[in-house]
Amino acid sequence: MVKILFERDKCLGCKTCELACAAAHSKTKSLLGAIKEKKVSRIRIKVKNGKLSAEQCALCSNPRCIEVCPVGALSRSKNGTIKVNPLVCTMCGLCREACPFGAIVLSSYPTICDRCSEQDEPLCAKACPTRALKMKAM
Amino acid sequence: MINCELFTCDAATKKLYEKAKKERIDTVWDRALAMQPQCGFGETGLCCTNCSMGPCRIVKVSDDGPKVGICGATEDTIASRNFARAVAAGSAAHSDHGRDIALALYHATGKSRVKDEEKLFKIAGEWGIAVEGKDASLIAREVAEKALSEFGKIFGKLVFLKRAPHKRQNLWDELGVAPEAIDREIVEVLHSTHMGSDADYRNIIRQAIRAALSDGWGGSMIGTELSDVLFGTPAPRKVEANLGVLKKECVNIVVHGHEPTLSEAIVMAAKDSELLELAKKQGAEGINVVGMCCTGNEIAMRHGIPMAGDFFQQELAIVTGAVEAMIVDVQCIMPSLATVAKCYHTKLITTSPKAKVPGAIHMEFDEQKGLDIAKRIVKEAVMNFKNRKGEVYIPDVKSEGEIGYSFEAIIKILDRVTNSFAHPSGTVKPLVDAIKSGVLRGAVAIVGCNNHKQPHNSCHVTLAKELLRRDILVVTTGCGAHSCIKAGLMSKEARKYCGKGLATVCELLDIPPVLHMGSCVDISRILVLLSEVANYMGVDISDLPVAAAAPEWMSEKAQSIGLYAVASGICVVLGVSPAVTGSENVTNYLTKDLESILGGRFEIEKDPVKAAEKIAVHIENKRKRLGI
Repeated sequence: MVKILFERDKCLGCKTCELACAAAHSKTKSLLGAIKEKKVSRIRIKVKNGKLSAEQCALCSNPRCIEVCPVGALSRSKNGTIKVNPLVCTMCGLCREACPFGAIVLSSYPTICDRCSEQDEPLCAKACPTRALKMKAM
Repeated sequence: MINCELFTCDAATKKLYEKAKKERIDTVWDRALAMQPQCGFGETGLCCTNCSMGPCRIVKVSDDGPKVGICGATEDTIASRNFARAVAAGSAAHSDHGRDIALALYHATGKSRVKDEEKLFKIAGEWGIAVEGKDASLIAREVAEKALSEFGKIFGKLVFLKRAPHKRQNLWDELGVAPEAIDREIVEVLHSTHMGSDADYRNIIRQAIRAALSDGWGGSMIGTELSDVLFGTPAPRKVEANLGVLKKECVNIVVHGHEPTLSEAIVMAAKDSELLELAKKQGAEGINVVGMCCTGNEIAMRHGIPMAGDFFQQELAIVTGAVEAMIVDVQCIMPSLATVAKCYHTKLITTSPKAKVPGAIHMEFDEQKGLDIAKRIVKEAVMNFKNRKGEVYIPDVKSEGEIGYSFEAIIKILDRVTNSFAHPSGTVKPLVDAIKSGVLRGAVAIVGCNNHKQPHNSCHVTLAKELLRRDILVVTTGCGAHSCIKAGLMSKEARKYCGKGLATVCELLDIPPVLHMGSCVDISRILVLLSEVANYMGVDISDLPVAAAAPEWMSEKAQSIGLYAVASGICVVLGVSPAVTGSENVTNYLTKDLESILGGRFEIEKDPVKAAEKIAVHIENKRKRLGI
């Protein structure tokens, strides 16, 4: 399992991670491609209660999103990330509401961080210019 | 929804923000919230996009992040280059405004087009243009030609630099910062900050200072002086301010932007009997022209047109549902206006070839056919009256104040208390006496815009009140002026906020304690006044017990103004940090080192109360050094 650590003090709010995430999930693996394909980022840097925070799937041990899904579209994959079965998903949005971290966005189907499982490391952490995001293998 | 109690102290703004929310209109505050967090690299000036090897970002918060750009530019180089480019853009905006006014004067034919011949002759004399045996329109043309040549002259220095105290002029010459031609100084900033040119932050800032001085003592001063010649030099008069000046039963026209050429024509056109007749036919009681932002200042000073609101109130004016047309020219026009206007019946009309907005109606203004075009624009507004839809709500919030304290007007006021047997009239003697005796501790200019990073209006107003309490006279321009008049600080009742000394001075001179000196280009009036005071006292501007503050600034123009004020020897307190704080060297240079070089410096202080304390200490130090 791959954890992504967020060091608030180092984050400058530039959102390079968001751009890198969208690009990583585009067909052409480019920012331009991501914009064309309307890819959304699976991490978001926000200000909450005056503090910077990163909204991203935390890979909970008992994921509420899986629990609430009425059609069983969400499941945990081998590497620990949550995957969505787009054929079954009805876009009801219960998973988004259930997530305590605000990590799920309903795009064409629920988008949840997959830790860039096809890459060596998550591209958000790789792109972070200040190293506020760091990967940790568990 | 944001709690508007926290972000503004202005009652009209609060009420209309609530209406906007009810009608699901996004305003500047909502967009600012959606923009959080804002990129720290941009905020600290550490992002460089000057060449396509970049963008490069200097990472200071982690050990292994890059510490120089791809070309090797350091944080000092990058931050100073960004700052210099902002200053150049600001100088360009002001100066191009000045050029437009000079062009308008050049094309002004016939005597009636020059309102203030006295001032025309004065400038002609100052510039060595012979006036004997020539009629005013010919002199106007020659003055305009000379002004226009200031932008691109090949040799020599700007003519208005001679207005500065001798010590200051010599200092500029010694340091090599006396600007030569306005356009050239701006071009040189762009050149020297091009990839692979200047890398020395001190030299980059030196060039930025030249560009800034060519604004304050060049473009802006030309803009102010020739506007006075063309449209009349402002004299004290009463006006109303705030969005409550809109009238439900009238055709409301908001003129917004900066250059008085357009607004003057609109004001004239709105008095046209045919159009008034037409308005009545449409069911309106009349045509109500009001001004917004600096255009508001310009026409309020010269015609007593109500000041509808400041930079952050432009969207809210449309939200009233009572504005038939918002007519805009250049600078500080939020592109969002087109979106907001679509939700109401309001027509957004752009008029400058330099500023078109998608979604707006473009009716290009041409100085030579000024009145005809203005009439067409006003007619557009009149015909729109019947299209009002939805709830019309004009908050019953307005205040009154006295405005129009141009340099000339101030001299005339001072003459009232000059002993005509003992002393010549037309000097600043009474003002200098008041400062020397200590009745008046000093003077501060509160200028600048609105910025969501500071609570709207309340920084201007709090700072002004804190200064008045300490017997410090306040002069103001631009959106700072809007804030002050809305808070009632330009009325004579505002004396209650003053210390004893200042209250007495205001009573004797019959003036409000906060003097409205005009729009943002009119900060040149403050330079002229300071020069006159310094010359009278035989000192430099940097010796005077004065300061400037821009508690809510946001524009590139404000950075240019700030820097020319610093280069003129004034301490400038900023409420919002300029994007240089990523470099300690550049920050120290601007906030500390410059004082020993130019006598002025920047100070960054977000809290208006603390800013007032700092200013008071600064003023007392200056007094001590003067031995007064």
